Amino acid sequence: MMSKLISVILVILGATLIVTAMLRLVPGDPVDHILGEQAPFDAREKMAKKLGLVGDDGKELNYAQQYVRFVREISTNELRSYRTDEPVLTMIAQRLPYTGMMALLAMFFALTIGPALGVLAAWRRASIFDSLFMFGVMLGVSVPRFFLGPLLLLVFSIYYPIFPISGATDGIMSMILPAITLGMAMAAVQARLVRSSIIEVMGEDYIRSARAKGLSETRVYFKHALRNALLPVVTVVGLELGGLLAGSIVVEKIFNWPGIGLLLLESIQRLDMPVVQGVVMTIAFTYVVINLITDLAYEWIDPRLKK
Amino acid sequence: MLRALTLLLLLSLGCHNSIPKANSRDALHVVVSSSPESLDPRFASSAVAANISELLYASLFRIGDDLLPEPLLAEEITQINPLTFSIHLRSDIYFHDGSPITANDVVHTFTTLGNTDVLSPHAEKFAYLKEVIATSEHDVKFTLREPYAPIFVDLCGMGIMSAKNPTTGSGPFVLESFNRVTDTILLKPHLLWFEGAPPLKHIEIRVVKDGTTRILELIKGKADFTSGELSPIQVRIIEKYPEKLTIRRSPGLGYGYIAFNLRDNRPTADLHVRQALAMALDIDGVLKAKFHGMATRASGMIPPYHWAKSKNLELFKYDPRGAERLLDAAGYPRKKNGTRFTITLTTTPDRFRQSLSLVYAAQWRAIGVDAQVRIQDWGSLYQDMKQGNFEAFSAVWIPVIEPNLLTWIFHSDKIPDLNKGGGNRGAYIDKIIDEMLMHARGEIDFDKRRILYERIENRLLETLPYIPLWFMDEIVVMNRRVIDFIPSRTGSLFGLRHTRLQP
Repeated sequence: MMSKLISVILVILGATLIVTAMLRLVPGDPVDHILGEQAPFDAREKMAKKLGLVGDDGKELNYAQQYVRFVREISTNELRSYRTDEPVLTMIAQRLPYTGMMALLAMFFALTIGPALGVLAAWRRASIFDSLFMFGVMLGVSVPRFFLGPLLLLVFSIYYPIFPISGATDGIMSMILPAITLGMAMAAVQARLVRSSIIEVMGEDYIRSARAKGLSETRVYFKHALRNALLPVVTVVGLELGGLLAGSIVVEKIFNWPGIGLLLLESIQRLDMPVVQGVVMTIAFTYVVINLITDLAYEWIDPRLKK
Repeated sequence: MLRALTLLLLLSLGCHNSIPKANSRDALHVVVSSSPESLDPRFASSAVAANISELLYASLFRIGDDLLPEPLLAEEITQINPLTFSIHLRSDIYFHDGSPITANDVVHTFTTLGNTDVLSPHAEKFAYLKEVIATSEHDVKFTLREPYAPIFVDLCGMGIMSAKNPTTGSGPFVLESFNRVTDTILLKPHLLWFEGAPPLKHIEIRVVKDGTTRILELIKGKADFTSGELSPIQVRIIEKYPEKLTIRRSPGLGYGYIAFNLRDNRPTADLHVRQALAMALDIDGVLKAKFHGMATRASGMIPPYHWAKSKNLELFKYDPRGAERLLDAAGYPRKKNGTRFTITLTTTPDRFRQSLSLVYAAQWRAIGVDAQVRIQDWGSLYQDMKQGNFEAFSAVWIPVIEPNLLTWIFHSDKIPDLNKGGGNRGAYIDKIIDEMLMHARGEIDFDKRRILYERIENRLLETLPYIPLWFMDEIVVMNRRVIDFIPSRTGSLFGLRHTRLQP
């Protein structure tokens, strides 16, 4: 437990270091971007000071100074967007619930429909349903989100207007298509994982014992096999959640969903470095926390891992 | 799981309530492609921000369809001498808080702009202003440091702000709310607007970044209106819904060009090479195939129908054979492998521009020039341009409304380096051009100015620092229920003040 916490701290520390370095590596001068290249020298200098690119003496800050400044400002919520002058953490806090809700719904979708289909396919192995299932899974994994999103919009919002088209103004209805787009690949991976995991488990000795005890096939299947087959699902959830956060950038753009992905996109285009730094930090932080939770959940499901 | 779902539902209901929403039938729903950095005219610099800011803050003049300034809040202008002019304000103009707009507010607007603590990106434009003083309640006297003809166009972009109440606006629409999270702006009409209160009850301006989603929203009817955000291919899709959507096209101002680096002894430093490269391009073919006719050919940077446009500019004829002969004579014969020299054409990641650049490169390869296309994001391309680190690039300039912009782009004093800004990225040096540009900037006689710019454009076509390509049409797509919107050539939304919705 202790070692895990230390590694979490190290990862977050590493993320802040990398994020500060980004500021220097990205081409383009934010001052040019805000004031335009026609701006006179004194205005440029003042702007550079305001943005924290140079110190009060007019000299460019070195890496260590920038790092200290970044950590100080972000911890007191004084780090402000170049573009709108709002505090970065406030901007993120306003948008994070949107991304969080969408990711949760996508995960809910992936963790119910995916495994359920996997269980059915394993149960009726080598049937027509199974082959159809395998085909569907391949499709689900390989169809890119930037294609699936507009396709779903076209079908379920224009041709059959069941769902609203974009934005977040229609409550849960406006969340369903984005969540499906986001969770599709994960659902497919989960389905396949559960299917092969069950098939593997069904050959184990304890299943034979259960059958020998005279238990019904359904009971053997759902009680003994399934529970043991779910372990890999939990492992993959932790890894996939990172994928969900990254994928949310594309999905949020397509569905005009006001989350942190859209914020990141706009900020990158406008060279709004503090916001980019803040969002990247947030994503790194979420990733670390989710992995921690996965580890804990893993131990809970399989007590042998505690040692 | 059930609990999680209930929580989710509650959360989403919470979101639902927190977002103000205009009644959809009463409001005109406008979609734009990027988020305005500010609505304050002092800080609005992107096109989208300037277009929205113009609705909230009215300026003294605005650009008419002949691309000349026409009075808005100003009623009359008197040129006292080349350095001094006086502007008489209308007497029926009011801020959104109901107080009258007076000469003091105009003075306040321009003096705070020049203050370096404000850090406005527009401050430099008004560096020529020596003094702005109110001579009566409705009269303002402007004094310049030196004769500077472009000042009236610069005055067009600058909305007037109140000296007493910094939050009130002066334009035909009033800001109701600006939700930064959902990037939604709500406007309502200004009842005291001097032309009469605008008929629209609400305007909702929403940022939708994805181009496909914008089209789907228009088709579905969630959005009513978009201006200048569509590529020709997207317009072709819109054309399939004539019962729902109308398309308005007007000759646009966005100027597509290829710029060359003239530094050192590279092939493009040779005029004959540049001419050959221009002759190798089948621009009419590109306009037909890629733009579906939604663009006009450019003969130079000043757009067609502009007052300063030269009428006797000759377009390059598509002549690949002639181009090859020119290159042979210029000392670049085909080598054994069939190529003459290599050139890299850089462009930005915009998909449509990429596809155009691929066509240009293919046409250059046909005359034996080994042309490659390189895609670079704007930030790093811009850095490279400033350092002269490119061979040729294809891009689009902001509209030339005030032809003095040519000074920024072609004057030898405007070659950028690490310490100095400038638009002359290819390091084009021509004494005659320098002289004419400076002369035209200080000339206040309209006709003399026009003749100077005609000569400048002719000279630019002869010396060819850029290959002029096209002007893309300004396209407005509207739902059928939107009536009385007259599109503007500048892409401005100001025409919305007369727009109505069919009941």
